[in-house]
Amino acid sequence: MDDLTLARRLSVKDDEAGRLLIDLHYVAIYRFLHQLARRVHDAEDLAQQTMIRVLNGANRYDGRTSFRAWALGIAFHEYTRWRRRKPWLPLLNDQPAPSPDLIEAQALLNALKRLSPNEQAVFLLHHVEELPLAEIAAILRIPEGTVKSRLHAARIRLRTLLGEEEPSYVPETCRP
Amino acid sequence: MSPKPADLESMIEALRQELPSPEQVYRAHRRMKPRRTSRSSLSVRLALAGLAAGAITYVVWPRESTGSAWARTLESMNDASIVHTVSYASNGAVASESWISGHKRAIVMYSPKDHSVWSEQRTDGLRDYIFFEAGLYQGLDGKSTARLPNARAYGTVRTNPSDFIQLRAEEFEFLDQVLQGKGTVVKSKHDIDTPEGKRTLYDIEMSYVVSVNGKKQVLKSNELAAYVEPNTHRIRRIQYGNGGYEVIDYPNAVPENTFQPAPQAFKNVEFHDLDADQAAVKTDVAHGVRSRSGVTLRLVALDATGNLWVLWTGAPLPDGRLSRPFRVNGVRAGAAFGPRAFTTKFKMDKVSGPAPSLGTRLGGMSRPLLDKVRKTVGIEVPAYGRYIRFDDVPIRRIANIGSFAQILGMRRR
Repeated sequence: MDDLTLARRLSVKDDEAGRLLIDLHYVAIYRFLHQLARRVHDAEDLAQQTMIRVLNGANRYDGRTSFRAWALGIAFHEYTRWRRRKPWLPLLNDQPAPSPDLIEAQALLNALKRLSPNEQAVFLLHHVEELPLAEIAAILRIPEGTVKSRLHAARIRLRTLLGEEEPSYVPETCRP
Repeated sequence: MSPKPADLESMIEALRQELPSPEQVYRAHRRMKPRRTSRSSLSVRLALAGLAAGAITYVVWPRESTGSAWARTLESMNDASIVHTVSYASNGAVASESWISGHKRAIVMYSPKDHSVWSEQRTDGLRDYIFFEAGLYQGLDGKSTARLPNARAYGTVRTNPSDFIQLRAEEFEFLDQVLQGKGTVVKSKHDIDTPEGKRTLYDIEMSYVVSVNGKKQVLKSNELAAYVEPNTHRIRRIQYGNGGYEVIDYPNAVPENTFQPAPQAFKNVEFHDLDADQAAVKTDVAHGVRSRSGVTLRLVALDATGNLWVLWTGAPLPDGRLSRPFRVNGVRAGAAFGPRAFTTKFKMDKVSGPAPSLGTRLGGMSRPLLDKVRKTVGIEVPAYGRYIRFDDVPIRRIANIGSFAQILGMRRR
Protein backbone atom coordinates (compact mmCIF):
# COMPACT_ATOMS: atom_id res chain seq x y z
CA MET A 1 0.00 0.00 0.00
CA ASP A 2 1.57 3.34 -0.95
CA ASP A 3 1.76 6.26 1.49
CA LEU A 4 -1.09 8.28 0.01
CA THR A 5 -3.43 5.29 0.01
CA LEU A 6 -2.53 4.54 3.60
CA ALA A 7 -3.25 8.12 4.59
CA ARG A 8 -6.54 8.14 2.73
CA ARG A 9 -7.67 4.92 4.39
CA LEU A 10 -6.55 6.11 7.80
CA SER A 11 -8.60 9.25 7.35
CA VAL A 12 -11.74 7.12 6.98
CA LYS A 13 -10.71 5.08 10.03
CA ASP A 14 -10.15 1.89 8.06
CA ASP A 15 -9.18 -0.84 10.55
CA GLU A 16 -6.72 -2.56 8.28
CA ALA A 17 -4.97 0.74 7.62
CA GLY A 18 -4.78 1.31 11.37
CA ARG A 19 -3.03 -2.03 11.78
CA LEU A 20 -0.68 -1.23 8.92
CA LEU A 21 0.15 2.08 10.54
CA ILE A 22 1.48 0.25 13.58
CA ASP A 23 3.16 -2.50 11.54
CA LEU A 24 4.99 -0.11 9.25
CA HIS A 25 5.75 2.90 11.40
CA TYR A 26 5.51 2.18 15.12
CA VAL A 27 9.08 0.89 15.37
CA ALA A 28 10.64 4.05 13.96
CA ILE A 29 8.39 6.36 15.96
CA TYR A 30 8.99 4.54 19.24
CA ARG A 31 12.74 4.29 18.64
CA PHE A 32 13.03 8.00 17.84
CA LEU A 33 11.01 9.01 20.89
CA HIS A 34 12.80 6.60 23.20
CA GLN A 35 16.15 7.95 22.12
CA LEU A 36 14.89 11.49 22.78
CA ALA A 37 12.97 10.93 25.99
CA ARG A 38 15.15 8.06 27.30
CA ARG A 39 12.40 6.42 29.38
CA VAL A 40 10.35 3.53 28.06
CA HIS A 41 7.14 4.70 29.72
CA ASP A 42 7.45 8.20 28.38
CA ALA A 43 8.37 6.94 24.92
CA GLU A 44 5.36 4.61 24.82
CA ASP A 45 3.00 7.37 25.89
CA LEU A 46 4.46 9.77 23.39
CA ALA A 47 4.35 7.15 20.64
CA GLN A 48 0.69 6.52 21.40
CA GLN A 49 -0.11 10.23 21.29
CA THR A 50 1.78 10.44 18.01
CA MET A 51 -0.22 7.58 16.54
CA ILE A 52 -3.46 9.24 17.51
CA ARG A 53 -2.39 12.54 15.97
CA VAL A 54 -1.28 10.72 12.81
CA LEU A 55 -4.64 8.98 12.65
CA ASN A 56 -6.60 12.18 13.20
CA GLY A 57 -4.46 14.21 10.84
CA ALA A 58 -4.07 11.65 8.06
CA ASN A 59 -6.33 13.67 5.76
CA ARG A 60 -3.72 16.43 5.82
CA TYR A 61 -0.88 14.23 4.55
CA ASP A 62 -0.03 15.47 1.06
CA GLY A 63 2.72 13.08 -0.03
CA ARG A 64 5.46 15.69 -0.25
CA THR A 65 7.55 13.60 2.14
CA SER A 66 7.38 9.90 2.90
CA PHE A 67 4.64 8.97 5.35
CA ARG A 68 7.28 7.75 7.76
CA ALA A 69 9.05 11.10 7.73
CA TRP A 70 5.75 12.94 8.19
CA ALA A 71 4.89 10.77 11.19
CA LEU A 72 8.34 11.31 12.70
CA GLY A 73 7.79 15.04 12.36
CA ILE A 74 4.59 14.69 14.37
CA ALA A 75 6.48 12.62 16.92
CA PHE A 76 9.05 15.38 17.41
CA HIS A 77 6.27 17.91 17.81
CA GLU A 78 4.70 15.71 20.52
CA TYR A 79 8.08 15.43 22.21
CA THR A 80 8.60 19.20 22.34
CA ARG A 81 5.09 19.71 23.73
CA TRP A 82 5.80 17.09 26.37
CA ARG A 83 9.11 18.74 27.30
CA ARG A 84 7.37 22.04 27.86
CA ARG A 85 4.91 20.37 30.24
CA LYS A 86 7.60 18.53 32.24
CA PRO A 87 9.13 20.19 35.30
CA TRP A 88 12.33 21.79 34.06
CA LEU A 89 14.37 21.02 37.16
CA PRO A 90 15.98 17.61 36.66
CA LEU A 91 15.60 15.28 39.62
CA LEU A 92 18.98 14.41 41.04
CA ASN A 93 18.56 10.66 41.11
CA ASP A 94 16.12 10.41 38.23
CA GLN A 95 18.38 8.79 35.70
CA PRO A 96 16.91 6.48 33.09
CA ALA A 97 17.97 2.88 33.52
CA PRO A 98 20.21 1.80 30.64
CA SER A 99 18.32 -0.39 28.23
CA PRO A 100 20.09 -3.73 27.63
CA ASP A 101 19.76 -3.23 23.88
CA LEU A 102 21.48 0.13 24.00
CA ILE A 103 24.37 -0.47 26.35
CA GLU A 104 26.78 -0.27 23.46
CA ALA A 105 25.40 3.12 22.53
CA GLN A 106 25.08 4.46 26.06
CA ALA A 107 27.95 6.92 25.68
CA LEU A 108 26.40 8.31 22.52
CA LEU A 109 22.97 8.62 24.15
CA ASN A 110 24.48 10.43 27.14
CA ALA A 111 26.31 12.79 24.83
CA LEU A 112 23.18 13.40 22.74
CA LYS A 113 21.35 14.43 25.87
CA ARG A 114 23.67 17.38 26.19
CA LEU A 115 22.70 18.72 22.79
CA SER A 116 19.69 20.90 22.23
CA PRO A 117 16.46 19.06 21.31
CA ASN A 118 16.70 20.47 17.78
CA GLU A 119 20.24 19.16 17.35
CA GLN A 120 19.27 15.79 18.82
CA ALA A 121 16.35 15.57 16.44
CA VAL A 122 18.29 16.27 13.25
CA PHE A 123 21.07 13.91 14.33
CA LEU A 124 18.68 11.05 15.11
CA LEU A 125 16.50 11.66 12.08
CA HIS A 126 19.47 11.72 9.72
CA HIS A 127 21.83 9.13 11.19
CA VAL A 128 19.47 6.69 12.90
CA GLU A 129 16.25 7.02 10.95
CA GLU A 130 18.28 7.75 7.79
CA LEU A 131 16.03 10.47 6.46
CA PRO A 132 17.45 12.68 3.72
CA LEU A 133 18.15 16.30 4.67
CA ALA A 134 15.38 17.59 2.43
CA GLU A 135 12.78 15.50 4.24
CA ILE A 136 14.07 16.55 7.64
CA ALA A 137 13.79 20.16 6.56
CA ALA A 138 10.24 19.61 5.34
CA ILE A 139 8.95 17.89 8.48
CA LEU A 140 10.67 20.26 10.90
CA ARG A 141 9.68 23.23 8.73
CA ILE A 142 13.13 24.73 8.61
CA PRO A 143 15.39 25.52 5.68
CA GLU A 144 17.66 22.73 4.51
CA GLY A 145 20.62 24.96 5.29
CA THR A 146 19.52 25.09 8.92
CA VAL A 147 19.34 21.30 9.00
CA LYS A 148 22.88 21.11 7.69
CA SER A 149 24.22 23.59 10.19
CA ARG A 150 22.49 21.88 13.13
CA LEU A 151 23.82 18.54 11.97
CA HIS A 152 27.30 19.93 11.64
CA ALA A 153 27.11 21.50 15.10
CA ALA A 154 25.79 18.25 16.56
CA ARG A 155 28.60 16.21 15.07
CA ILE A 156 31.29 18.58 16.34
CA ARG A 157 29.80 18.71 19.81
CA LEU A 158 29.40 14.93 19.96
CA ARG A 159 33.01 14.36 18.92
CA THR A 160 34.10 16.63 21.73
CA LEU A 161 31.80 15.07 24.31
CA LEU A 162 32.62 11.50 23.37
CA GLY A 163 36.28 12.25 23.43
CA GLU A 164 36.08 13.79 26.91
CA GLU A 165 33.73 11.75 29.00
CA GLU A 166 33.68 8.30 30.59
CA PRO A 167 30.55 6.25 29.98
CA SER A 168 28.02 6.89 32.75
CA TYR A 169 27.00 3.24 32.87
CA VAL A 170 29.61 0.92 34.30
CA PRO A 171 29.05 -2.75 33.53
CA GLU A 172 28.69 -5.05 36.54
CA THR A 173 31.93 -6.82 35.79
CA CYS A 174 33.90 -3.59 35.99
CA ARG A 175 32.63 -2.41 39.35
CA PRO A 176 34.95 -2.84 42.32
CA MET B 1 40.48 12.16 22.56
CA SER B 2 37.94 12.05 19.73
CA PRO B 3 36.07 8.80 19.23
CA LYS B 4 37.27 6.62 16.41
CA PRO B 5 34.88 6.77 13.41
CA ALA B 6 34.31 3.02 13.71
CA ASP B 7 33.23 3.41 17.37
CA LEU B 8 30.78 6.20 16.60
CA GLU B 9 29.42 4.32 13.62
CA SER B 10 28.92 1.17 15.67
CA MET B 11 27.09 3.19 18.34
CA ILE B 12 24.87 4.71 15.68
CA GLU B 13 24.25 1.25 14.24
CA ALA B 14 23.26 0.05 17.73
CA LEU B 15 20.70 2.85 17.89
CA ARG B 16 19.38 1.87 14.47
CA GLN B 17 18.85 -1.69 15.68
CA GLU B 18 16.69 -0.67 18.64
CA LEU B 19 13.27 -2.27 18.50
CA PRO B 20 10.26 -2.10 20.78
CA SER B 21 9.39 -5.37 22.47
CA PRO B 22 6.57 -7.51 21.04
CA GLU B 23 4.56 -6.64 24.16
CA GLN B 24 4.94 -2.96 23.40
CA VAL B 25 3.82 -3.46 19.81
CA TYR B 26 0.87 -5.50 21.06
CA ARG B 27 -0.11 -2.69 23.44
CA ALA B 28 0.18 -0.20 20.59
CA HIS B 29 -2.25 -2.26 18.53
CA ARG B 30 -4.70 -2.54 21.40
CA ARG B 31 -4.63 1.15 22.16
CA MET B 32 -5.14 2.04 18.53
CA LYS B 33 -8.58 0.47 18.37
CA PRO B 34 -11.08 3.34 18.12
CA ARG B 35 -13.23 4.45 21.01
CA ARG B 36 -16.61 5.41 19.62
CA THR B 37 -19.41 7.39 21.09
CA SER B 38 -22.89 7.20 19.78
CA ARG B 39 -26.22 8.73 20.58
CA SER B 40 -29.84 8.97 19.35
CA SER B 41 -31.02 5.69 17.81
CA LEU B 42 -28.31 3.83 19.57
CA SER B 43 -29.69 4.87 22.96
CA VAL B 44 -32.72 2.66 22.26
CA ARG B 45 -30.50 -0.30 21.57
CA LEU B 46 -28.48 0.54 24.63
CA ALA B 47 -31.62 0.38 26.76
CA LEU B 48 -32.30 -3.07 25.37
CA ALA B 49 -28.82 -4.13 26.26
CA GLY B 50 -29.28 -2.73 29.73
CA LEU B 51 -26.75 0.04 29.26
CA ALA B 52 -27.21 3.63 30.42
CA ALA B 53 -28.42 6.06 27.75
CA GLY B 54 -26.58 9.16 26.72
CA ALA B 55 -23.03 9.52 25.53
CA ILE B 56 -21.56 6.09 26.03
CA THR B 57 -18.03 5.09 25.30
CA TYR B 58 -17.52 1.73 23.64
CA VAL B 59 -14.29 -0.03 23.20
CA VAL B 60 -13.55 -3.19 21.36
CA TRP B 61 -12.60 -6.49 22.94
CA PRO B 62 -10.71 -6.58 25.24
CA ARG B 63 -12.71 -3.69 26.66
CA GLU B 64 -13.66 -1.76 29.77
CA SER B 65 -16.75 -2.30 31.88
CA THR B 66 -20.02 -0.60 31.06
CA GLY B 67 -21.92 -2.20 33.91
CA SER B 68 -24.22 -4.39 31.82
CA ALA B 69 -24.61 -8.12 32.08
CA TRP B 70 -23.20 -8.41 28.60
CA ALA B 71 -20.22 -6.28 29.50
CA ARG B 72 -19.63 -8.46 32.57
CA THR B 73 -19.55 -11.42 30.22
CA LEU B 74 -16.90 -9.83 28.11
CA GLU B 75 -14.91 -8.78 31.15
CA SER B 76 -15.01 -12.31 32.42
CA MET B 77 -13.64 -13.59 29.13
CA ASN B 78 -10.90 -11.02 29.24
CA ASP B 79 -9.91 -12.21 32.69
CA ALA B 80 -9.53 -15.78 31.55
CA SER B 81 -5.95 -16.82 31.22
CA ILE B 82 -6.64 -19.21 28.34
CA VAL B 83 -9.55 -19.22 25.89
CA HIS B 84 -9.92 -22.35 23.80
CA THR B 85 -12.40 -22.41 20.91
CA VAL B 86 -13.41 -25.15 18.51
CA SER B 87 -15.39 -23.97 15.50
CA TYR B 88 -17.75 -26.34 13.71
CA ALA B 89 -19.35 -26.12 10.28
CA SER B 90 -23.08 -26.70 9.95
CA ASN B 91 -22.46 -30.37 9.12
CA GLY B 92 -20.63 -30.84 12.40
CA ALA B 93 -17.14 -30.97 10.84
CA VAL B 94 -14.43 -29.17 12.77
CA ALA B 95 -13.44 -26.02 10.86
CA SER B 96 -10.80 -24.66 13.21
CA GLU B 97 -9.39 -24.79 16.69
CA SER B 98 -7.77 -21.87 18.46
CA TRP B 99 -6.16 -20.90 21.74
CA ILE B 100 -5.55 -17.46 23.19
CA SER B 101 -3.48 -16.62 26.25
CA GLY B 102 -2.66 -12.94 26.45
CA HIS B 103 -0.58 -12.17 23.40
CA LYS B 104 0.09 -15.85 22.73
CA ARG B 105 -2.15 -17.21 20.00
CA ALA B 106 -2.54 -20.40 18.05
CA ILE B 107 -5.03 -21.44 15.39
CA VAL B 108 -5.29 -24.52 13.21
CA MET B 109 -7.69 -24.54 10.28
CA TYR B 110 -9.02 -27.67 8.60
CA SER B 111 -10.31 -28.44 5.14
CA PRO B 112 -14.05 -29.19 5.32
CA LYS B 113 -13.60 -31.96 2.72
CA ASP B 114 -11.03 -34.23 4.27
CA HIS B 115 -10.20 -32.59 7.59
CA SER B 116 -6.63 -32.02 6.47
CA VAL B 117 -4.78 -29.03 7.91
CA TRP B 118 -4.58 -26.22 5.42
CA SER B 119 -3.32 -23.49 7.73
CA GLU B 120 -1.55 -23.40 11.06
CA GLN B 121 -0.42 -20.27 12.91
CA ARG B 122 1.18 -20.01 16.34
CA THR B 123 2.89 -17.23 18.24
CA ASP B 124 4.53 -17.06 21.64
CA GLY B 125 4.32 -13.29 21.55
CA LEU B 126 7.89 -12.97 20.31
CA ARG B 127 8.00 -15.01 17.12
CA ASP B 128 5.25 -16.42 15.03
CA TYR B 129 4.95 -19.45 12.79
CA ILE B 130 2.66 -19.52 9.78
CA PHE B 131 2.01 -22.48 7.51
CA PHE B 132 0.39 -22.18 4.11
CA GLU B 133 -0.20 -24.50 1.22
CA ALA B 134 1.57 -23.20 -1.86
CA GLY B 135 -0.56 -21.34 -4.37
CA LEU B 136 -1.68 -22.46 -7.77
CA TYR B 137 -0.36 -21.25 -11.10
CA GLN B 138 -2.50 -19.83 -13.88
CA GLY B 139 -1.52 -21.52 -17.10
CA LEU B 140 -0.36 -19.58 -20.16
CA ASP B 141 -3.63 -20.39 -21.92
CA GLY B 142 -5.42 -18.44 -19.22
CA LYS B 143 -7.63 -21.41 -18.40
CA SER B 144 -5.80 -24.21 -16.80
CA THR B 145 -4.59 -24.04 -13.26
CA ALA B 146 -2.01 -26.42 -11.99
CA ARG B 147 0.49 -26.65 -9.23
CA LEU B 148 3.97 -25.95 -10.57
CA PRO B 149 6.48 -28.83 -10.34
CA ASN B 150 8.59 -26.97 -7.78
CA ALA B 151 5.67 -25.71 -5.65
CA ARG B 152 5.72 -26.83 -2.07
CA ALA B 153 3.93 -26.29 1.22
CA TYR B 154 5.94 -24.12 3.54
CA GLY B 155 6.03 -22.82 7.06
CA THR B 156 7.60 -19.53 8.04
CA VAL B 157 8.92 -18.45 11.41
CA ARG B 158 9.66 -14.81 12.02
CA THR B 159 10.00 -12.21 14.73
CA ASN B 160 7.48 -9.36 15.08
CA PRO B 161 4.18 -11.16 15.16
CA SER B 162 2.18 -7.96 15.44
CA ASP B 163 -0.02 -8.60 12.39
CA PHE B 164 -0.78 -12.12 13.57
CA ILE B 165 -1.97 -10.99 16.97
CA GLN B 166 -5.21 -9.66 15.52
CA LEU B 167 -6.11 -13.07 14.07
CA ARG B 168 -8.26 -14.33 16.91
CA ALA B 169 -9.84 -10.90 17.50
CA GLU B 170 -11.40 -11.17 14.03
CA GLU B 171 -13.12 -14.39 15.05
CA PHE B 172 -14.76 -12.53 17.89
CA GLU B 173 -15.64 -9.59 15.70
CA PHE B 174 -19.29 -9.85 16.59
CA LEU B 175 -18.42 -8.87 20.17
CA ASP B 176 -17.03 -5.65 18.79
CA GLN B 177 -20.20 -5.11 16.78
CA VAL B 178 -22.38 -5.12 19.90
CA LEU B 179 -20.64 -2.37 21.77
CA GLN B 180 -19.54 -0.37 18.75
CA GLY B 181 -23.15 0.11 17.84
CA LYS B 182 -22.59 -1.05 14.29
CA GLY B 183 -26.20 -2.07 13.92
CA THR B 184 -25.89 -4.94 16.38
CA VAL B 185 -28.72 -5.44 18.81
CA VAL B 186 -29.11 -7.75 21.75
CA LYS B 187 -32.67 -8.73 20.97
CA SER B 188 -33.42 -10.80 23.99
CA LYS B 189 -31.90 -12.49 26.99
CA HIS B 190 -33.28 -15.34 29.02
CA ASP B 191 -32.20 -18.31 31.12
CA ILE B 192 -32.42 -21.82 29.71
CA ASP B 193 -31.37 -25.35 30.52
CA THR B 194 -29.03 -27.11 28.11
CA PRO B 195 -27.36 -30.54 28.18
CA GLU B 196 -24.23 -28.76 29.38
CA GLY B 197 -26.05 -27.02 32.22
CA LYS B 198 -27.89 -23.78 32.91
CA ARG B 199 -27.09 -20.98 30.52
CA THR B 200 -28.16 -17.39 29.84
CA LEU B 201 -29.03 -17.12 26.17
CA TYR B 202 -28.44 -13.83 24.32
CA ASP B 203 -30.13 -13.53 20.94
CA ILE B 204 -28.13 -11.09 18.85
CA GLU B 205 -28.94 -9.54 15.50
CA MET B 206 -25.86 -8.29 13.76
CA SER B 207 -25.06 -6.17 10.74
CA TYR B 208 -21.55 -5.51 9.53
CA VAL B 209 -20.62 -2.01 8.56
CA VAL B 210 -17.67 -2.03 6.22
CA SER B 211 -15.86 0.69 4.38
CA VAL B 212 -15.58 0.15 0.63
CA ASN B 213 -13.69 2.79 -1.36
CA GLY B 214 -14.27 5.18 1.50
CA LYS B 215 -18.03 4.63 1.60
CA LYS B 216 -19.74 2.80 4.42
CA GLN B 217 -21.94 -0.12 3.44
CA VAL B 218 -24.18 -2.24 5.62
CA LEU B 219 -23.87 -5.93 4.84
CA LYS B 220 -26.56 -8.50 5.37
CA SER B 221 -27.62 -9.04 8.97
CA ASN B 222 -26.66 -12.19 10.76
CA GLU B 223 -28.37 -13.68 13.72
CA LEU B 224 -26.53 -15.60 16.34
CA ALA B 225 -27.01 -16.82 19.84
CA ALA B 226 -24.47 -16.71 22.65
CA TYR B 227 -24.83 -19.14 25.56
CA VAL B 228 -23.30 -17.71 28.71
CA GLU B 229 -22.54 -19.59 31.91
CA PRO B 230 -24.48 -17.72 34.62
CA ASN B 231 -22.03 -18.12 37.50
CA THR B 232 -18.84 -17.32 35.56
CA HIS B 233 -20.38 -14.98 32.96
CA ARG B 234 -18.33 -16.68 30.28
CA ILE B 235 -19.53 -17.52 26.79
CA ARG B 236 -19.56 -21.29 26.33
CA ARG B 237 -21.20 -21.64 22.94
CA ILE B 238 -21.98 -19.43 19.98
CA GLN B 239 -24.59 -20.60 17.48
CA TYR B 240 -24.61 -18.95 14.04
CA GLY B 241 -27.58 -18.52 11.74
CA ASN B 242 -25.96 -20.66 9.03
CA GLY B 243 -25.83 -23.65 11.35
CA GLY B 244 -22.18 -23.38 12.31
CA TYR B 245 -21.26 -23.04 15.95
CA GLU B 246 -18.36 -22.57 18.34
CA VAL B 247 -17.71 -24.28 21.63
CA ILE B 248 -15.53 -22.35 24.05
CA ASP B 249 -13.80 -23.48 27.21
CA TYR B 250 -11.28 -21.90 29.58
CA PRO B 251 -8.64 -24.43 30.59
CA ASN B 252 -6.20 -23.65 33.37
CA ALA B 253 -3.34 -24.99 31.31
CA VAL B 254 -2.52 -26.18 27.81
CA PRO B 255 0.36 -28.29 26.51
CA GLU B 256 3.68 -26.45 26.58
CA ASN B 257 4.11 -26.49 22.83
CA THR B 258 0.69 -25.02 21.98
CA PHE B 259 2.13 -21.57 21.38
CA GLN B 260 5.54 -22.71 20.24
CA PRO B 261 6.25 -21.12 16.85
CA ALA B 262 7.03 -24.36 15.02
CA PRO B 263 5.15 -26.84 12.82
CA GLN B 264 3.00 -29.17 14.89
CA ALA B 265 -0.32 -30.00 13.28
CA PHE B 266 1.33 -30.33 9.88
CA LYS B 267 4.92 -31.44 10.19
CA ASN B 268 5.89 -32.31 6.62
CA VAL B 269 6.63 -28.77 5.54
CA GLU B 270 9.59 -26.90 4.17
CA PHE B 271 10.63 -24.71 7.05
CA HIS B 272 11.74 -21.11 6.57
CA ASP B 273 13.23 -19.03 9.33
CA LEU B 274 12.41 -15.68 7.84
CA ASP B 275 14.88 -13.79 9.98
CA ALA B 276 17.68 -16.06 8.77
CA ASP B 277 16.42 -15.96 5.18
CA GLN B 278 16.38 -12.18 5.22
CA ALA B 279 19.93 -12.04 6.54
CA ALA B 280 21.06 -14.46 3.82
CA VAL B 281 19.35 -12.55 1.01
CA LYS B 282 20.83 -9.33 2.36
CA THR B 283 24.28 -10.89 2.06
CA ASP B 284 23.57 -12.21 -1.44
CA VAL B 285 22.47 -8.79 -2.62
CA ALA B 286 25.35 -6.94 -1.00
CA HIS B 287 28.12 -9.28 -2.13
CA GLY B 288 26.62 -10.83 -5.24
CA VAL B 289 26.04 -14.49 -6.01
CA ARG B 290 28.07 -14.73 -9.21
CA SER B 291 29.76 -12.21 -11.52
CA ARG B 292 30.71 -12.39 -15.16
CA SER B 293 31.41 -9.86 -17.90
CA GLY B 294 30.43 -7.00 -15.62
CA VAL B 295 27.07 -8.50 -14.70
CA THR B 296 26.50 -9.62 -11.12
CA LEU B 297 23.68 -11.90 -10.06
CA ARG B 298 22.24 -10.55 -6.81
CA LEU B 299 19.40 -13.02 -6.20
CA VAL B 300 18.60 -16.42 -7.68
CA ALA B 301 15.68 -17.74 -5.68
CA LEU B 302 12.91 -20.28 -6.09
CA ASP B 303 9.74 -19.28 -4.24
CA ALA B 304 7.30 -21.72 -2.70
CA THR B 305 4.90 -21.37 -5.62
CA GLY B 306 7.61 -22.61 -7.99
CA ASN B 307 8.71 -19.35 -9.63
CA LEU B 308 12.39 -18.59 -10.18
CA TRP B 309 13.44 -15.01 -9.37
CA VAL B 310 16.63 -13.68 -10.94
CA LEU B 311 17.84 -10.18 -10.09
CA TRP B 312 21.07 -8.55 -11.24
CA THR B 313 23.18 -5.42 -11.54
CA GLY B 314 25.67 -4.43 -14.19
CA ALA B 315 23.26 -4.93 -17.07
CA PRO B 316 20.54 -2.58 -18.27
CA LEU B 317 17.21 -2.81 -16.51
CA PRO B 318 14.72 -5.00 -18.42
CA ASP B 319 12.09 -3.09 -20.37
CA GLY B 320 8.63 -2.82 -18.89
CA ARG B 321 7.21 -5.49 -21.19
CA LEU B 322 9.96 -7.94 -20.20
CA SER B 323 10.50 -8.63 -23.88
CA ARG B 324 13.86 -10.32 -23.24
CA PRO B 325 13.37 -12.63 -20.27
CA PHE B 326 16.23 -14.47 -18.68
CA ARG B 327 16.75 -18.05 -19.89
CA VAL B 328 17.03 -21.16 -17.78
CA ASN B 329 19.20 -23.80 -19.43
CA GLY B 330 17.62 -27.22 -19.80
CA VAL B 331 14.44 -26.19 -17.96
CA ARG B 332 11.17 -25.08 -19.49
CA ALA B 333 9.97 -21.78 -18.10
CA GLY B 334 6.71 -19.86 -18.42
CA ALA B 335 6.12 -16.19 -19.23
CA ALA B 336 8.17 -13.65 -17.31
CA PHE B 337 6.48 -11.42 -14.76
CA GLY B 338 7.49 -9.20 -11.89
CA PRO B 339 7.21 -5.78 -10.27
CA ARG B 340 8.00 -2.64 -12.24
CA ALA B 341 10.57 -1.79 -9.57
CA PHE B 342 13.02 -4.06 -11.38
CA THR B 343 12.43 -2.65 -14.86
CA THR B 344 12.81 0.58 -16.81
CA LYS B 345 9.29 1.44 -15.63
CA PHE B 346 10.41 1.80 -12.01
CA LYS B 347 9.17 5.38 -11.84
CA MET B 348 5.63 4.04 -11.96
CA ASP B 349 6.34 2.16 -8.74
CA LYS B 350 6.51 5.01 -6.27
CA VAL B 351 7.15 2.91 -3.18
CA SER B 352 10.28 1.29 -4.64
CA GLY B 353 13.85 2.46 -4.57
CA PRO B 354 17.44 1.29 -4.93
CA ALA B 355 18.51 -1.78 -2.97
CA PRO B 356 19.66 -0.15 0.29
CA SER B 357 22.90 -2.12 0.57
CA LEU B 358 23.98 -1.17 -2.96
CA GLY B 359 22.46 2.24 -3.54
CA THR B 360 21.44 1.10 -7.02
CA ARG B 361 18.36 -0.54 -8.44
CA LEU B 362 18.22 -4.23 -9.16
CA GLY B 363 17.03 -5.42 -12.55
CA GLY B 364 15.23 -8.65 -13.14
CA MET B 365 12.05 -10.64 -13.12
CA SER B 366 10.53 -14.02 -12.34
CA ARG B 367 9.50 -16.99 -14.44
CA PRO B 368 7.48 -20.04 -13.41
CA LEU B 369 9.56 -23.18 -13.91
CA LEU B 370 7.69 -25.94 -15.71
CA ASP B 371 10.22 -28.66 -14.90
CA LYS B 372 11.63 -29.75 -11.59
CA VAL B 373 15.03 -28.34 -10.66
CA ARG B 374 17.63 -29.40 -8.16
CA LYS B 375 20.07 -27.27 -6.22
CA THR B 376 21.69 -25.41 -9.09
CA VAL B 377 20.61 -24.03 -12.44
CA GLY B 378 22.20 -22.52 -15.53
CA ILE B 379 20.96 -19.00 -16.29
CA GLU B 380 21.42 -16.57 -19.16
CA VAL B 381 20.84 -12.90 -18.39
CA PRO B 382 20.03 -10.39 -21.16
CA ALA B 383 22.71 -7.70 -21.39
CA TYR B 384 23.65 -5.27 -24.17
CA GLY B 385 22.09 -7.19 -27.05
CA ARG B 386 23.40 -10.59 -26.02
CA TYR B 387 23.07 -13.04 -23.15
CA ILE B 388 25.58 -13.55 -20.34
CA ARG B 389 25.69 -17.17 -19.27
CA PHE B 390 26.10 -18.40 -15.71
CA ASP B 391 26.46 -22.14 -15.11
CA ASP B 392 25.57 -24.10 -11.98
CA VAL B 393 24.22 -21.16 -10.00
CA PRO B 394 23.02 -22.26 -6.56
CA ILE B 395 19.29 -21.70 -6.06
CA ARG B 396 18.14 -20.13 -2.82
CA ARG B 397 14.77 -21.47 -1.71
CA ILE B 398 12.47 -18.82 -0.26
CA ALA B 399 8.85 -18.74 0.78
CA ASN B 400 7.71 -15.51 -0.81
CA ILE B 401 9.56 -12.64 -2.53
CA GLY B 402 7.48 -10.11 -0.61
CA SER B 403 9.32 -10.99 2.59
CA PHE B 404 12.42 -9.34 1.13
CA ALA B 405 10.76 -6.25 -0.28
CA GLN B 406 12.87 -3.74 1.62
CA ILE B 407 16.15 -5.57 1.02
CA LEU B 408 15.52 -5.69 -2.72
CA GLY B 409 14.23 -2.14 -3.01
CA MET B 410 10.67 -3.21 -3.82
CA ARG B 411 9.59 -1.08 -0.91
CA ARG B 412 11.48 1.74 0.72
CA ARG B 413 11.51 1.80 4.52
